[in-house]
Amino acid sequence: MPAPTKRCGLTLLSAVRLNKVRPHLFAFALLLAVTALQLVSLGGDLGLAFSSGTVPHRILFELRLPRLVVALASGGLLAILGASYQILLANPLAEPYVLGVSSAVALAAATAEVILGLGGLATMGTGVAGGMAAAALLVVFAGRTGPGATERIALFGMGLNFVLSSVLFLLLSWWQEQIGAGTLRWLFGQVPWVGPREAWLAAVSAGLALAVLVVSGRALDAVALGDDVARSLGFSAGRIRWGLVLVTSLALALVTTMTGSIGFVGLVIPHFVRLVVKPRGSRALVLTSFLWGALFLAFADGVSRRIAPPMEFPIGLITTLVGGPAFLWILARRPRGLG
Amino acid sequence: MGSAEHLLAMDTPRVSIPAGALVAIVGRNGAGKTTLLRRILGSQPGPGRVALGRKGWDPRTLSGIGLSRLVAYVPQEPAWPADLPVRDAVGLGLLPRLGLWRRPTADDLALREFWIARFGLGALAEFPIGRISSGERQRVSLARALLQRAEVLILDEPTNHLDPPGAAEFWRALVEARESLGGVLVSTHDTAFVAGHADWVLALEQGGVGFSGSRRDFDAWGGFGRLFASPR
Repeated sequence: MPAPTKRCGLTLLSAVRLNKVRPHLFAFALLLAVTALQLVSLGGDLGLAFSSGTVPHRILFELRLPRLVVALASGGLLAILGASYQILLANPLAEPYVLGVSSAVALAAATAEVILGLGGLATMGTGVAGGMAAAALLVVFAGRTGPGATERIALFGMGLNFVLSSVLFLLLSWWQEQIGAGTLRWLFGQVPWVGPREAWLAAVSAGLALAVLVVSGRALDAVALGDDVARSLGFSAGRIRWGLVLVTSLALALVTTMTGSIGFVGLVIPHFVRLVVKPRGSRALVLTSFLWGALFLAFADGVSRRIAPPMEFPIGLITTLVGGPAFLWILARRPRGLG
Repeated sequence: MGSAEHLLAMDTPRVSIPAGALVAIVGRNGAGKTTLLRRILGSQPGPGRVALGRKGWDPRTLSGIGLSRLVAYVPQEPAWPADLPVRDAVGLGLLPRLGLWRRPTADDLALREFWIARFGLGALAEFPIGRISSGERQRVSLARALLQRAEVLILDEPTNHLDPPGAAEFWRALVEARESLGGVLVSTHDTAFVAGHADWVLALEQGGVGFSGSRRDFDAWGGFGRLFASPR
């Protein structure tokens, strides 16, 4: 045990504690597995991959690396949005998929792409607009106080999710003779093959959202104590909630227009991190969640491609298979009166 | 309105309380205790002016560090993240002065350890707050609020869920902490505490102020017998 004074100096700050090595070893192992699954299994001579112009080089840098970047960005984003929604909306079940934000993006983007036949950029814009509308609705709803308010927001979001998902399914089955692989991602989520430009966009979005939440770590700590206490501590919970939910949801919506809605990562990862890594403070929670979320989704993407090649198993089904039971478990063990 | 002699002055309802007082806000459930406290904190809108503390500031016009220096708040059911260690929970009282990035100074940490020790939380400092008793948790809330070093402390029924020994311990901690405060406003149903420690009683009935005065005058007015006998 280190001396208390040494440890507590940065309790609100200490990001990843060095004396908690084991979870991080695990993370490192996961990182190796992801790399192996995604990049190295080229079959041929590995050296060829690093000389430009060769087929392995193009496979690595124009197909696999961009896809890996999107998987990492999407997983990290979903995890930190879960972590921050849970604090800002004061509900342990809050995350973008459960609360319908992901479905709103998917519905809006699918409408633009499949029905209106719009191109990439217009689809992206429509999807982002849909996601922002849903996020704004949640914040408005969260601003209402009174008994049971925090319970209601989870139910409200779930209701929103049900409705939007059903409309999406209805539209797709009405408009299409058969649901092809490209359309499947709107329903179940999938990490797509993308070009370097999309990969950059995803990486920058995730990086910005992460930076915003890390800078606001102490504000999240304050809001976690409830709006009135946050107020007396000098933090305006309303303004923080609007700012952070909108900015981070914008980043998520952008990436979701590429991946479709991927369920439960935002629920599973922050709870897993709290339980296993035990971060001290919101800043550490956000950083650690990003790391684990990114690795988890990249790993799941590798698995999804290898279950039944050449068919790709939708990644959203894998994350839901893991996340659904976790959702029930969190619901069951939640102590009363403590968030 | 609002001068060196006042802890709190309001014009709707008309209330004027002398500086330095420990004020008990009493009344039946639904009489408006929480609403009044939240109005004084400035998180609930209401008619008229509020002047709090030595300088008579209206908390509704303040925000940020200015507000945090004027008033600390302990709500009826503090929302603690269950896995937060007690030491970190108390340390959140430093947030106003630390802002988003500043590191705590040696003095900040010493003060945190002082309140942890003073309220008998030393052995629990590394425990997650969800695993300690309700009484201990309320003392954590009190220590957190005191670490804020605000002039006035507002507490909303802090002993509501505590057993009698837990409540007694909490009140002892509050009375000890008084000397570092410019005034305390606490809503409570604990008649023994009011009789033993309150300087001033603000009795709410039917949405208005039924009585506001020193405890002795409250007893002369009819005390809890009269307050609780009146129809709602």
